[in-house]
Amino acid sequence: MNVADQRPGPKLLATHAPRSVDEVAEIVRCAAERGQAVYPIGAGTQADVGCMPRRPGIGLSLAALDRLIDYQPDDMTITVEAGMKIDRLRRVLAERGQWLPLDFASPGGTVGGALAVGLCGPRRFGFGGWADYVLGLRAVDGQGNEFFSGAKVVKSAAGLNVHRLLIGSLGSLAIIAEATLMVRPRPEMQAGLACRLSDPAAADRLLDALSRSRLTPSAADLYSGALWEQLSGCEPTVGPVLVVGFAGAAADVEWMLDGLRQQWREAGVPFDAIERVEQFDALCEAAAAWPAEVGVAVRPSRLCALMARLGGVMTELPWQARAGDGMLLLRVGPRTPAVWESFVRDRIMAPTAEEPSARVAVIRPPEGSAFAPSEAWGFSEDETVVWTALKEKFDPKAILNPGRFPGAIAAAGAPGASPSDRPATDGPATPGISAATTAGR
Amino acid sequence: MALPELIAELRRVLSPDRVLHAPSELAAYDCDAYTVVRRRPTAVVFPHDPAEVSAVVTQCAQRRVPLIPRGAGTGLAGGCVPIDGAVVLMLTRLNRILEINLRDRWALVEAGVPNLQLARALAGTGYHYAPDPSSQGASTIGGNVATNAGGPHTLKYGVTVNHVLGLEVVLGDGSVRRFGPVAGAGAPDISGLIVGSEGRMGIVTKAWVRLTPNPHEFRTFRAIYGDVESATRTVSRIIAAGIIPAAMELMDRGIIGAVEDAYHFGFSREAEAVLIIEIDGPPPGLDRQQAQILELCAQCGAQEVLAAADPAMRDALWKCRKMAVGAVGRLSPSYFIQDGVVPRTQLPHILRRIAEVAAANRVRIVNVAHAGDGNVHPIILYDDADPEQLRRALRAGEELLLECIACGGSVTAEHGIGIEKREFMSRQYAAADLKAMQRTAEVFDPFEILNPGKLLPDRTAGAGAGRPNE
Ligand SMILES: Cc1cc2nc3c(=O)[nH]c(=O)nc-3n(C[C@H](O)[C@H](O)[C@H](O)COP(=O)(O)OP(=O)(O)OC[C@H]3O[C@@H](n4cnc5c(N)ncnc54)[C@H](O)[C@@H]3O)c2cc1C
Repeated sequence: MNVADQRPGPKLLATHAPRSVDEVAEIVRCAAERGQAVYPIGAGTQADVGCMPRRPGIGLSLAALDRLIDYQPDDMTITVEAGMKIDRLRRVLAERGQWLPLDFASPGGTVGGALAVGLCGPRRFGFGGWADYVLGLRAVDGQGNEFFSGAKVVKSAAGLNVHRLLIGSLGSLAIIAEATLMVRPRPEMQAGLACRLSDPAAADRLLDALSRSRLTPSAADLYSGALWEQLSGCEPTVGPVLVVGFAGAAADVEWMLDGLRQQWREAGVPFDAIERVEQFDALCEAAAAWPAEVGVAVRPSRLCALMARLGGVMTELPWQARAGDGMLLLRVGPRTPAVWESFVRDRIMAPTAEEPSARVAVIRPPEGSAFAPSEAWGFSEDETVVWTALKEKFDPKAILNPGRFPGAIAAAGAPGASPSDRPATDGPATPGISAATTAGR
Repeated sequence: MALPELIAELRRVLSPDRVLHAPSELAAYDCDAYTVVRRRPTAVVFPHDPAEVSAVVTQCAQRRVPLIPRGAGTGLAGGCVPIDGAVVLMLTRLNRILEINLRDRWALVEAGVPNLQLARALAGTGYHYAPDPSSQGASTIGGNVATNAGGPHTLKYGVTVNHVLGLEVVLGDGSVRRFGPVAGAGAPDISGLIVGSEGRMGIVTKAWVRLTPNPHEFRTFRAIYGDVESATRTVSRIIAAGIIPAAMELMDRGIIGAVEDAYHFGFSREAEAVLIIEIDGPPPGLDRQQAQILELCAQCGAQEVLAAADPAMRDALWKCRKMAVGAVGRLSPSYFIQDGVVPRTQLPHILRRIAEVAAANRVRIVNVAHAGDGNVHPIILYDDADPEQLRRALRAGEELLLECIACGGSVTAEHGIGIEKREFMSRQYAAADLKAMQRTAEVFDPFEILNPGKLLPDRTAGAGAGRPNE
């Protein structure tokens, strides 16, 4: 299979599949010398995340780097190469009664790919995200320098957490080659309750009650009626569905489910029914695998207010919301690129701009849409300024995943240099934070 | 360097009474809780708000004068030592809690707020801020962020970086920037990068910290052992049983004796090791975990296991642990607390090595450890009136750190590198690793004025300053 075919955008000139980190470094070094773009590829399962590649280049498949390097169940740490499939990692851990408490968008994907994309699922609320489980990373920067950041033990305060920058930056600063992760004992039981509601305002009251109680859910999510039907296979419903789940010892989970049921009954909010969600683990995975196109991050307490601002969008589109973390995920669906884009701008971005704590990210722009990376990823000005300077340090030739993630100031004369690669706060490529300050000296 | 001019400018941008520069006023800022290295700062300044912090940074940046952010000065790695005539910037006047929001599960606090002040403000809300370093009575949230502080409860709840949602920082060019607290879908976690950077990547002025619901119930145990190995074996067995206690703290005979002398908790002086184990969570699961833990302690040879019967007793057990370090003053005129970490399963090995290293260097070492994390804190005793003893104590500390590296661990779990351990960075990391860190720091501090000479080894700044005072 040619993984490259799953990647939208310009065709790859060739795909290399190095077998060692040294080979990865060598390939990147050669590409850097020629100013050739490099597109890292895991299993290709999330190739649609991020903006379109802007120029031709080579593919760098991590698939052959898939070894288990070290697993110490009693230390709760594991080190694997980036190309290891999530499925296999999970099997290895399950044999020892352990797991990585994250929701994987695609079990067929690779560890490196999941880290580079960095998206989390429902259980981030209770267990934290990728960054909370990554102890150390080995990576190769845009000049072919191999480096390690972090540690192989569960706690270390030595040095700067450079590895945290690689989580969620789509391989645009460095290519992840190896990861050391903290793992946990697998909980005995996971289950939840679902409550069909008339409108988001009712959900708001239940969420408020939840935050004032001492229940410790692993996830607290809202689903549009249509999406709920699709994910759970339950009866269709019109209003939103609130789903709260727990993980832990069976006795604890039952105890908290009872507490939640009682809390909901006493909240004085009208609802249709409370259903028990037995396959909560599977539901979380399905929710994480749902290919959201737009994500709106918002202060959790303002989520329902944001949904009210979005008005008709909430009934027109399927959506889910990580109510505990404050993240609304939507699918605009198949439309022509121009219609898709104007829908996002006019119906989602414009009303969201009124909500001070919210920010929109275009997670899966359709082929041909014109969002520039820093706009698509919803970077603030402060993030753009710092990220641009970081990119300059780690990938000065802008060869890693060009065009797919913010940060690159196209080097003058570089092939494919395009003005839309430029971040909003533009400036000369100075190795500092703000061009203005440096220029003043 | 036009220092008088700088001082005049600082007095202008703040106010004269908030700029100390007379030698007699500066002595208190020579060092932090790592007292081995002391240097005199050029000035000490007390800004009130981020704008004033920014103005001070700008003045120092123009003249390339190094600047050292300082919270409570409880750091144990010399991160606040003002090498190279640095200006010390005090954060203690940025001391307001700006917001506590239970629905969002966060609090917004200024950097100079002491950890305990936040804990007190949260009392009765049903939530708490999880990182609880033993220094929490004094140490500041900004200092905790800068050192990625831990504490006894990090085993289950994680360290500071796991509880920071966003930061406002003043970067090395004087710009005031904000990262977080609302994390975008896919936006990189820049605040997580700044946590633990020991002041090298910006001066933290505000932090949005995560609030954690209080556990429903605690069960706290004290297990006493006739040998250290049995205690460490218990730790491994508990983890292997799939239990993640909220805390597992180890104290050895030396420290138990000191605690007894100071506070008379009623420990047997014959005990070679004490474990304090705490589990928390909803009541039903706790009963089963308690039974398992008692069983494992017994199997591993505990001589006595005591379960705290009520909150007062739990407090007493924790008091004994948190006051342990303070009690060391009774054992020795001077001491320093080492901080190293090994994979948890290597704990028996490292504790054996600590004893061997102490014997070989003819120094006394007593131990406390966050055993569940594999984090040891050997406390090395010496008499600072005797330079030869100090040398031996330092050598013992170095040997222990090298052993931590050899075991696949790290030279610091929670106290940071500071000035004390910067030479060890090149033992733990390859040159390319350090370069990646250096390049990252440059982005945030282009003129290299923020705490230079700390954390990273490859600089000329403060050359030789890692040496103790003559
Ligand atoms: C008795 C005792 C017990 C301790 N127990 C623990 C423990 O259990 N766990 C633990 O982790 N540590 C512990 N420590 C170490 C110390 O308390 C922590 O490192 C603490 O986080 C330091 O906070 P501080 O406010 O005193 O910082 P300071 O000592 O003032 O500064 C520490 C470092 O952070 C930088 N810094 C301070 N404030 C800022 C800011 N606002 N922005 C940027 N940089 C800044 C400084 O330049 C310095 O490099 C203990 C120390 C003592 C003396």
